[in-house]
Amino acid sequence: MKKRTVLVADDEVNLLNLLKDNLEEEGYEVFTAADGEEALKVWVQKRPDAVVLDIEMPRMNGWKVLEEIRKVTLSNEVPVILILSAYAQHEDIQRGMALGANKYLTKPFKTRALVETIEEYLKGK
Amino acid sequence: MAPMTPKEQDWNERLEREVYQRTLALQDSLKRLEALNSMRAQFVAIMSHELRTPATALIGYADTLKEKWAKLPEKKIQKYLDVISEESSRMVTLMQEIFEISRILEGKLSLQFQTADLIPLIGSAVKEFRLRYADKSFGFKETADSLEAKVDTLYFKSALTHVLLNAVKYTPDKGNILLFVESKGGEAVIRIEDDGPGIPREYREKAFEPFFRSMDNVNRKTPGAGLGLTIARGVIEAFKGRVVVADKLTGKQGCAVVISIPLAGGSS
Ligand SMILES: Nc1ncnc2c1ncn2[C@@H]1O[C@H](COP(=O)(O)OP(=O)(O)OP(=O)(O)O)[C@@H](O)[C@H]1O
Ligand SMILES: [Mg+2]
Repeated sequence: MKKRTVLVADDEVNLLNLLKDNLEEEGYEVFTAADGEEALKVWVQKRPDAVVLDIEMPRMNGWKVLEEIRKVTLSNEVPVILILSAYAQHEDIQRGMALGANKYLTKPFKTRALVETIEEYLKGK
Repeated sequence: MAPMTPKEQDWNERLEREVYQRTLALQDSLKRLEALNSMRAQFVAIMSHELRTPATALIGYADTLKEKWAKLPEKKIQKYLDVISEESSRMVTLMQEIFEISRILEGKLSLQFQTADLIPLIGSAVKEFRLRYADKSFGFKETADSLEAKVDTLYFKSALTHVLLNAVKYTPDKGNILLFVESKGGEAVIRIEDDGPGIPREYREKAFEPFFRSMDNVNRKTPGAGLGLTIARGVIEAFKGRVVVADKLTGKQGCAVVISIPLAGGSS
């Protein structure tokens, strides 16, 4: 079976490496990006099966990246998981859903929770 | 009611004026308190965000080690432990900064003033930085024999350290950091220059606001909460001094931070 692919974008390098290691361990091929523009570039090139986006990133924030991704995909085609910060308010969550995010995680979250979320969405794909 | 005597009238007018002035003063301090309060609320919100990032990394790495210890190669384990120690120090630094800055915002720095010569204090800070950051070069030029000022020596070093840390942090590898120290117009003037990207003019004052970090690329790769300069200015102002960002003496690219502190005894 072909390896399923995930794009993870976060400007915190330690967090990025952690998520990459854990996902690779579960058998995914992982592409990483350290800012929003890079994330979009990788998205276009690689068309991964799932995307994890930090909201606060330099150059282009996660909202914008999500918007671009949703111009060409539906949420039941490519799951996008958002990582929200401390001040994740109700509006942020609504905004994420309106833009077509599948799920959001709030910092601090458990790595396991993220891995399981991706598993769940990609199950049977 | 009997009409007021001229004396009573005079009293009355004075009272009214007084009440009016007091009201203005009260309104003024109320406004300042409101500003302080909203700053504090904002402060708490951003702070909790800043703490959540290292917390997420700490939890994640610790959990991963716990769950996968037996499977992980030695090298990975070492790397994860390094990250845990790095992120914990980041948290500790942040907590120290929060503490210092909340004291400053409330005007509650408890300072132990003494008249001290700033030159050896600066010299010892430079020495520590030379040891800690061997890849950078530090120059120290003083044109005064001694610069006595009334300061809290610990806080003085903390302020200087925040500025020096920036110089180190924002200067690419092998950069030069230069300190010029002189006595000028009754003040000790300490100028810290580096050859990093510098701060664009329009951000030179903003850089002192709590949590301000310019969003450009260079900056984004360096860790920080945007509190260092706020703390440095808060401390130096408590010594009746000033901190500003200026052009370098040579006019070349880079950052120059100038600290001025009144000399003790008004000597120049
Ligand atoms: N030497 C410098 N060179 C270039 N930019 C600087 C320099 N010093 C400060 N800055 C700019 O000013 C901003 C504010 O500096 P400040 O020291 O307050 O915060 P920080 O360095 O980002 O974080 P912290 O000091 O809290 O770790 C920095 O983010 C950076 O954009
Ligand atoms: Mg700093």
